[in-house]
Amino acid sequence: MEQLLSVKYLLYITFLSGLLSCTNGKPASGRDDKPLYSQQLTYAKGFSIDYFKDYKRLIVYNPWQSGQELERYYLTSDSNCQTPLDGRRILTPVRSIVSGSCTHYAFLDMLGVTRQVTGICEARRVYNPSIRQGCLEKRIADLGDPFRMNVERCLMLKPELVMISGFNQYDENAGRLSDAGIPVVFNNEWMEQDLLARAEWIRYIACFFEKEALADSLFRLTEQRYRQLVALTGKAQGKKPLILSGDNFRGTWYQPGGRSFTAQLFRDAGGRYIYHADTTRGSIPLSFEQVYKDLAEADVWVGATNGASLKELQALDQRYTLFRPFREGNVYAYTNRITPEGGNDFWEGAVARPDLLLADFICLFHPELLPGHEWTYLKKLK
Amino acid sequence: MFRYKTSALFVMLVLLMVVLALADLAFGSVRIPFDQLLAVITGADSDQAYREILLNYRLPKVITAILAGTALSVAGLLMQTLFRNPLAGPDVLGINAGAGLGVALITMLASGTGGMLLGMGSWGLVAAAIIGAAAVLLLVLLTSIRVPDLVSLLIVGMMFGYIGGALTSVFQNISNPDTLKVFIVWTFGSLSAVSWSMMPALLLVVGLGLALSCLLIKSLNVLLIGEHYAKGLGVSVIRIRFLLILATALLAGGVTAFAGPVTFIGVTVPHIARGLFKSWDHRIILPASILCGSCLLLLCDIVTQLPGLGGNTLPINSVTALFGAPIIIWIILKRA
Repeated sequence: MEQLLSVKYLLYITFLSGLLSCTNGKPASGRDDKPLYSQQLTYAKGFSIDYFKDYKRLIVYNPWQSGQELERYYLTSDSNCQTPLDGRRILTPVRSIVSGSCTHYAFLDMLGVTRQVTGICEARRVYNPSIRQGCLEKRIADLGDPFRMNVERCLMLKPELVMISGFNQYDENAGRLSDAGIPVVFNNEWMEQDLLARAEWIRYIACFFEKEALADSLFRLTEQRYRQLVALTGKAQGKKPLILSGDNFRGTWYQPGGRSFTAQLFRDAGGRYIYHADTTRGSIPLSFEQVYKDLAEADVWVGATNGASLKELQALDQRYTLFRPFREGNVYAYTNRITPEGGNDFWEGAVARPDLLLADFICLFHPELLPGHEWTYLKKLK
Repeated sequence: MFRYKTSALFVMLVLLMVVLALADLAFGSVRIPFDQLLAVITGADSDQAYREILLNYRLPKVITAILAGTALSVAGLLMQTLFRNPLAGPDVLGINAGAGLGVALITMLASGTGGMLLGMGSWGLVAAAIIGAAAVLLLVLLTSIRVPDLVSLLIVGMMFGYIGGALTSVFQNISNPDTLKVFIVWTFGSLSAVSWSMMPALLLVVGLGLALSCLLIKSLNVLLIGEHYAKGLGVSVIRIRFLLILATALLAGGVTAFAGPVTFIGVTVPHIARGLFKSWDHRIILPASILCGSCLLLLCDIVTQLPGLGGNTLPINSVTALFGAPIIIWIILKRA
């Protein structure tokens, strides 16, 4: 154990000295050089990847101010290489990573690098089996709440990379880790407008592990399946079912906004959602009476969150029985893959595999299109 | 005999503060071996990560705990004397609510431009809180000149607080879970939110407030015997009131801006100080409050790091309330 620690320490020092050697040297100009090659992104708008002779440049754009750069990173596998000084230098392939968001797990798993994960937030809420196993074996440390990451523990892990979600706020902890010489990179996949754009961030993560080719084929496969499924809905025979979504909380019914991922799924899967014209990306708070007036006769209710069964829902609020989908037992929740501790693959795997999610919705709205389909994320409440 | 006892108490409190400060440095969610601890303190060769944790993480936190404990306790004392109300605290003037409103505005409403606040980085939240607190302060000060009696001023302060709180709720209602969480985490308070780059600013604000409070010690003692008598003694009550509010705003508003809301310290510590020193004289109670407040907040910070919490630390604001509320109950029961 002692030996292992000292080896880690040594690696860390080499890494740091690499950093120093680069900053001490003559600064290479970054902005004028033309990249040899730029990765074309089909959907994602939040980042860009450019390849130069000795390094790649990753730019993360500010999702809250269009056109503005949030940060840029220079990835190189050559510890002697000088990278431009206007961005953080990161040595690849990264051998240890701390992930600050559950939305990264499925990507890391698909790229086959979960062994490199040394720390995560909210370990008890993990669904991904290999990350979960790592937590049980104490290979992966629990760093607590992602909004208040335990900085002390994270520093002790000496990770080669910390990947976190940006939240339109200066992240105090990210600043601290950065000051301590640990590269912190933002992954804003959750701010994308499109499900496939969100899934395309696999290309971004892959860069740090030098697995771009694998990421490319995985993403193309996901994209292809998604497109095929969307095309399939063109063959739907019956009328589009009317959708009731979200749930009621003390008199306010929160429905997914018209620009949310959920609304996109409703549209792509051939459902009728009355808030399609809405421009909200989060959820829209509606009064119970409004929802009752508009959607009491909906065909299906997707995304009930308050209860695990129809009985539980009814016990919470007798008025649920006023809704047709409830009376007819057409109520679905995103809880098909959950752990007893509250981990839910809907928040992890579905980010990387929107095709599976879409298949569930198509089967729900037009069962004749996907005979024999097995639910991945959706679960019918009984 | 009395003087001897008081000095002994002061010496003991100072020692306690030093011990607690060292303990707060030594204990955290990562266990640091004693030899490494010594190595870092003496500047000998030590592990980079330990040095980073101790010097750039725990040390500013300890200093913030001392500053915040000092500032909030003194602010509470000033308010309790001004309003002659044992339950008054730094937040009765609504200044904290103003700071909260400022933060709520940039975290939840200004989704397009606010967050990074024009590249202000960690200063964004601080700036928002200061603007919010200063706006309410201005209103309270204007009111204090216009309204002659204290009870009305107290009520007006509380009303400002309610308005701030209500607007904050309105923003919370319409905002998304992620921005909501950013705001909620701010309301937990955090002593580790103050980095070295911010420390001079916090020090300056608290220092100014503290200096002003010390200048007002005599006037505070005069206020104890009642405003009418004070007027009879030729003291300008309006002027003192104005200065007291200003000092409180600097102390409480400054700490809230940098560390977020930390409740209960301001209300409880003056009671602890008075109980310990058996005195109402501000020449004794003010320094006593400084020491007691620092000790209490350091202790609370150690409690937030208790082992067995998984990767989490407890929010400082909950720990202070868990400590503070029983003390208030005890005071009330003892008086009944």
